[in-house]
Amino acid sequence: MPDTDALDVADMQATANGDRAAFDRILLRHQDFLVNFFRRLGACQGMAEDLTQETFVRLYKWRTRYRPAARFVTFLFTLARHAWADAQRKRGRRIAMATAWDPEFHDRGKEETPHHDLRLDMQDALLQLEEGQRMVVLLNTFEGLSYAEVGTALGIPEGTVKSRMFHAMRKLRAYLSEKGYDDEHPNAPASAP
Amino acid sequence: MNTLTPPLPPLDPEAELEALLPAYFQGQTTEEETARVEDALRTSPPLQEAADEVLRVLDALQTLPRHTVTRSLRESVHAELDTPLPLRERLRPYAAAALFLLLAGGFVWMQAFPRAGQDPVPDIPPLADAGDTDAIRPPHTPAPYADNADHDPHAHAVAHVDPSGDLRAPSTEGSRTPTPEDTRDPARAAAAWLARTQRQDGSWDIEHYGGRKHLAVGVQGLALMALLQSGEEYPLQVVRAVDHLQSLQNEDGSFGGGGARMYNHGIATLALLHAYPRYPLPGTDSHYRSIARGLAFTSRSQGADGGWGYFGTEVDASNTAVTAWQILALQEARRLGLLPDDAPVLDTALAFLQRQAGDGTAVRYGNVLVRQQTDAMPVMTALCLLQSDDPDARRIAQALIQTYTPADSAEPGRLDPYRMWFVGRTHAGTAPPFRRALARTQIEDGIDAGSIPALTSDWGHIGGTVYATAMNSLAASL
Repeated sequence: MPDTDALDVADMQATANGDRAAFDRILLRHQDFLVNFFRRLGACQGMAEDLTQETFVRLYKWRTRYRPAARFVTFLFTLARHAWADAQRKRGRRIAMATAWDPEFHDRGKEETPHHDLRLDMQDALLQLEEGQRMVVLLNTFEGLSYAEVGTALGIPEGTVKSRMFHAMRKLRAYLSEKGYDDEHPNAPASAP
Repeated sequence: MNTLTPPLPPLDPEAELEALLPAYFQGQTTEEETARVEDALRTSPPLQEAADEVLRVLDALQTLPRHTVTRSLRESVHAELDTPLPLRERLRPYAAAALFLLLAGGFVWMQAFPRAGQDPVPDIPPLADAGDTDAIRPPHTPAPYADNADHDPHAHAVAHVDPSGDLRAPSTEGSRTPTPEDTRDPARAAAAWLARTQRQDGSWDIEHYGGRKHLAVGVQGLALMALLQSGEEYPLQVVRAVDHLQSLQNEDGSFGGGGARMYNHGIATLALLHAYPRYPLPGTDSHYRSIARGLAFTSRSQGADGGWGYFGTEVDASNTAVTAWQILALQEARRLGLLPDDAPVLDTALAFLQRQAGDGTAVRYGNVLVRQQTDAMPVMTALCLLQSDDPDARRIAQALIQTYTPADSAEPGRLDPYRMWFVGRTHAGTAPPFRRALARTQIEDGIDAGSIPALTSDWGHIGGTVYATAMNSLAASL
């Protein structure tokens, strides 16, 4: 995630002063990241967009009380995490999961896009992680939050973040190995460019 | 507190080091943590094995698709914000006010109690102290350098270039400010954006534009190469970038550190070499010394098998891509006469690469066999082997080129500039579909005109906008 902290903080202050256009800039800057966050947590596209919308509504309501004590995205993902938890409570944990309907999962082996099977397997592997571990992995590896920032966003100590990351990585490593993404597998990813 | 998962027991010291690996590879560890991880990596085979596997997991995670919104969230958010609350919701504040009046001294209580009509209170960070303005940095607004030339120590250097000293020496006009005409050509427009966003000290704010910290040195090198390839239009910016790259060199002669150290080192050394003959400025001695120290480190850190791995250490397993970058730098150094003909480092490195390429049907990345046409590795291997003195190596290179250089980018709507740069250098031409895709993707207007959005390009998710713009510019310039 690009570091837009200075812009975000300035726009949040303008939003607090009644500038809706500033709020729109924040929305446009972060909507895709939030949709991806919810999709990777397991929501389908429609639910991910609903949750993103809900997160921004909450953000707007917080506009006058927000203070830039930490990176803005830390605060945004705190709101996102609460939106996700509330949605799960309201729906009895029946959030539509991507794997249940996503046509991509029914087209395995048909597409020749590079890493297609690996991509689907990684979606599957992520969904097999405990939710707390999944959030740590997503916030750190996709959103670029440091362990301390992940802890702030999730409301847990940094040590717990490390512990969750440790166990998540062990599971993902075992998953890749079990699926045959080892040294001789043709889809085995290169480790760098 | 999050109660989604039960608490886990504390990690023992070895497990904590393993837990730090993802942060280490993403450049998020502190200096102390980095030192601890690197010390342990030198001595602990289990941690080395874990590091390899964690890298594989991190890269596999990056294959996940990137989604975008499919409807206008702006409109739906505004609609929800503008919808009048039902009567019951509107009365709630009055009820709260009544409670406030009923409870003398209820101010403290009200602070602790959520106001009516609001969502559950998230765990927001504590409030900043009043007047804590350090937390609010001004937006990144690069200065127009032509206006600052009087105050720039590099301007003096540019002003003393002798135009007759080199065929491609820069003009003595010093810096120029990018003009609207630059936007007509995608590569020139990209170079103009790079010139505009360069900071006074010659660096680019890689992290500000979405790049990972541990790749920043290499991306600075690519940005310098993009400016160089655009012609002689930005001599002052080039001098600044060269100066800044030199300042990033470590005491041992290497560039960068951590999990991408040798990528950074190879690219930075190559960038300095590209700049070397074109800008024979006062201060060239330091430029030469920097290159020489860099090449000495390249030579010292070569593995027994002739290759290099990520870390440039003796315990590091060699891989093809990292080795190819070192070879490109060594070949450029030899071409410039900066590497003695009898220096064995280049020949042993090419021998490693030749072994990795086998008979020219596929290339191994470490131990991984790469057969996909969209991977850059076979093409970068071919580019290195093409310049070998060994006819067998050149034959293998030709075989690889025939198999692995389709004329299109990796996926429709997606740019693959990293591979296309190597394709272009082996073919002395860049595919028209790539240029068309680039023209469609490049931002045309506004302050970011000329830049390439990071997520449209392969590896842009870790290199950021500076990487995407520089790499696409390089690929399109050929």
